[in-house]
Amino acid sequence: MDRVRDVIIIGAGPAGLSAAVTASGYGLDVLVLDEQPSPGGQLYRNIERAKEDTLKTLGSDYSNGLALVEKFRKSGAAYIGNAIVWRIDPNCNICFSAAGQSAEISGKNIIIAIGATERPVPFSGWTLPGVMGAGAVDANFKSSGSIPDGPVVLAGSGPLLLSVVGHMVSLGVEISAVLDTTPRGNIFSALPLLPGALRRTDYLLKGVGMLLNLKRSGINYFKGITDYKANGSDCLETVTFKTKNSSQQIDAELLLVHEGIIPRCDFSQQIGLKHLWDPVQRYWYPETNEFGGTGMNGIYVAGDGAFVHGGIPAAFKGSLAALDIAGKLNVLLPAQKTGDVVMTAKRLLSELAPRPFVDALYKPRMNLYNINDETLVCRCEEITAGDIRQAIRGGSREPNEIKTITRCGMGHCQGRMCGIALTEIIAENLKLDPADLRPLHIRPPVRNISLAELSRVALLKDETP
Amino acid sequence: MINEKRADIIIVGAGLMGASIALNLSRAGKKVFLLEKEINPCHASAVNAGGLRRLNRALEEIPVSVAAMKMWPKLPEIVGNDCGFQPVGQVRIAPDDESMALFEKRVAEVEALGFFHEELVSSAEIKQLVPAYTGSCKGGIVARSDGHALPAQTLRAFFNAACSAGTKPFTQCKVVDISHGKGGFTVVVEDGRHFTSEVVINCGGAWGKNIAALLDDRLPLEPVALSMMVTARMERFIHPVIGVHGRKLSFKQMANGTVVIGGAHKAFLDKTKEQTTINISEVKKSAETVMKYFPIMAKVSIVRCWAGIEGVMSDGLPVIDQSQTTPGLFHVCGFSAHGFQLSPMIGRLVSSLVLGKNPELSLAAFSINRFNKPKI
Amino acid sequence: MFKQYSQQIDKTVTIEFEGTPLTVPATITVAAAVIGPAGQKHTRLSPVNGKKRAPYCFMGVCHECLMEIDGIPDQQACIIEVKEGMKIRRQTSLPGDVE
Repeated sequence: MDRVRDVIIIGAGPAGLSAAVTASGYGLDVLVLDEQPSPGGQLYRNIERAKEDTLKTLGSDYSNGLALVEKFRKSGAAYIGNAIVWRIDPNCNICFSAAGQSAEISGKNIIIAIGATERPVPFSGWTLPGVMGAGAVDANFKSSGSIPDGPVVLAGSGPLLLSVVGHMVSLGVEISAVLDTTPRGNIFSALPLLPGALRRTDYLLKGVGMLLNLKRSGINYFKGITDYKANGSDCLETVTFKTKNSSQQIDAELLLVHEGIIPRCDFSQQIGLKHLWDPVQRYWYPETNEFGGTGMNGIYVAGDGAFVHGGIPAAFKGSLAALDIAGKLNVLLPAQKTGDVVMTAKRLLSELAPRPFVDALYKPRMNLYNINDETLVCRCEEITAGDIRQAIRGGSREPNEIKTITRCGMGHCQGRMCGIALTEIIAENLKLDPADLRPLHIRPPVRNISLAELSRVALLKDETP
Repeated sequence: MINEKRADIIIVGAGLMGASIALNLSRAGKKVFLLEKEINPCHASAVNAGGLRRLNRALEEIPVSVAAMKMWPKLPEIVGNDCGFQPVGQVRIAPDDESMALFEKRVAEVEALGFFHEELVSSAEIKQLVPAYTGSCKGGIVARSDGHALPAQTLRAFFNAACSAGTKPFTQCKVVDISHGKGGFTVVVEDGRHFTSEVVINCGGAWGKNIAALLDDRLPLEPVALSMMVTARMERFIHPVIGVHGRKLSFKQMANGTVVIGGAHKAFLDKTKEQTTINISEVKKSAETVMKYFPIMAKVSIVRCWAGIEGVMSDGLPVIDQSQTTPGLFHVCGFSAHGFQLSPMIGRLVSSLVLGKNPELSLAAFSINRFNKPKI
Repeated sequence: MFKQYSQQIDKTVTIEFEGTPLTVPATITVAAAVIGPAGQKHTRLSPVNGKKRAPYCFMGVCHECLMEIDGIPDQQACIIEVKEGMKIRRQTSLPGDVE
């Protein structure tokens, strides 16, 4: 454990695994740390142990991961599962917890490859048991083979929503309704981007296929709905929503929500990298170069954690980061590096072709955070939109100040669930561009560790400033 | 014609000291500009541990501290906000006979000055006040009406009160030059704007040395990053703020159950980027110390660690004085990580000082003379 | 709220939920066991106001699945797998002062 690895990769999803395979292929000393019991990330979660019926239901998007995980297992890269990284520093040191023990290790480079998560969007009733992310249900199925037991309503917008609907249908889950919030106008702003996307008709056809399946399945499918709410006292009982002409109510055991995907910036924010705001998909992402390199020497961000492009592009982005590191460590001749980079970049670009079209088609709706004062924004500390607006009226405009005044973002999740909503609420109230605000700080430990464990962390050396 | 850029007084730095002084001067009818380099009032004023302590203060600071303590319960009348004030007391434990002897001497000194807020208590009373403490104990000292407050809320309240009183704030205005001539001061900020005034007050906090240097005053002040950590909520196990003599340990359990742990553990500081990075070995030591004396906290999770940038003087005391070389320039900085409690009173005292009135308490101990040997 | 999809379950383990033994598939997460075989709808009570909460993201982000596992509080049940003999409890106390 004591040796300084050439590269330590955080996350064993498509980007992390691919980076590990590439780096190991050039003889680099690689260690992958991942929080899950087995490699795969969210996209290929638990794939090594997936049952036949799981593979069949989830199709090739999932089963394709088997080959990547197999390559990784054979690559020679070291791997520690069930490892929770809770701090990185600019000297490429990493603190992580495994089996109740924390240790610090050091690398020459770090690739942060922790992927993406569903965009948390507060709405009335979203903290009730029975309301969860649509992707969360997929994740629970992959990791545990669990499926919803009782009628389900799916709501929101985005390719993943349609994909989860498809999975639920195949799994025989009772679907009460699908509530699509995609604004009707999006298609018009997306159309000019269609020609670029046509370079990858396979991708587009998949999307069209998902929509057709949804229509054929006879599910209650509402388009252009607004104001969906979860109602219940102790848990979800009903879902209400508005269509163009009416208000409706549906009984449901589960409400599965999806409003797009955003990068996980846990470590990029903890270490203090500069983050930029994407005005189309409306999220923070770390500033990186074409290799995932950042303003900090040796710190890379790869995959969806750098910008959401999806699983297959993520793998290429992981490879590019590994190639850059191999070049810098002189295990790769410049010409060889150029060749490999050009090839990988070409394939990445081809995968990215449909992205602008899809991003515009599923651009988050304007009123996404148009929530009433009573709605909880910070789930951990129970801070409402009204509390935030009151702080804004009190003269605060900086997200981190509002955090310290209201406690919004001060709980266990450190603003991962409320940070973007906070940004958007401030921007909306003060008529500011979110890009001019700063994201919430995430402080170490980025995941909970006990005081006892912290007091026993095995450090590389003791430094005093 | 009214000169938009002309003020009676320019205060550099909208931290708690700057805001408190601005509030008093505005209420005294002066035209005050409050210049802040950040987008909002922040830094140490907003992210300190929030302790309100007369206990164990430098003797020189006691009169100001005692007067300030009387103001904290009245903040709703002064700034329209209670600032999260909790008069839960502060306790300092003597782990051995040596420290108890020091405490005895200390309390005698404090009482000789005519102050009686520090009380010696027996180990039995410590046991009662701090039942969760498992270290050795020979007694301690307490200040029963000390306590803690919420820094960010306090800062915002003072800043807003100052603005309501007429102070004009200018944020994102980093001062890059100050010159002094016949017409008074000209203060230049990063974007090129000029402001002029009769008086400039340096409330630059950790950056106070740089501001002073613009007019060739030298302050032996160094920015230091001190780290803290906070736990998840715990069932109430302690009321007063706790310190243990000779140990880098200080913590308090907030009203919501979280425990804020300090203890003057240093963090790394990048002075140019103004970024702090916690020093994990210091954090580990802090956790070890807490574990040793408060094993009740073993299982609680640490939610986050952070560090604030403090301006620390070579002798640990602030400078509150007029410049010896530039009349009309005042320095109010270097509170050395214990200015939070003093801040309401500092506003009053400095306001008097600047207005040429006799401050109600002597500021002699905080003179700049103590460093600036007269030039030959 | 959830059930197991597959009819054939190869291996099981016995865990304890709130002191009651429960046999569950060997490779499921603690959170899946609680809102599945254990028949529960919530994994924790909000430490602020005691309201019931359940996993939201199932990928370690939302922290709504924090549970006491083998005596250690604040464990993320959605990424930890069950183990034979594992003792799982909800964190039910409402700490801090009554406000």
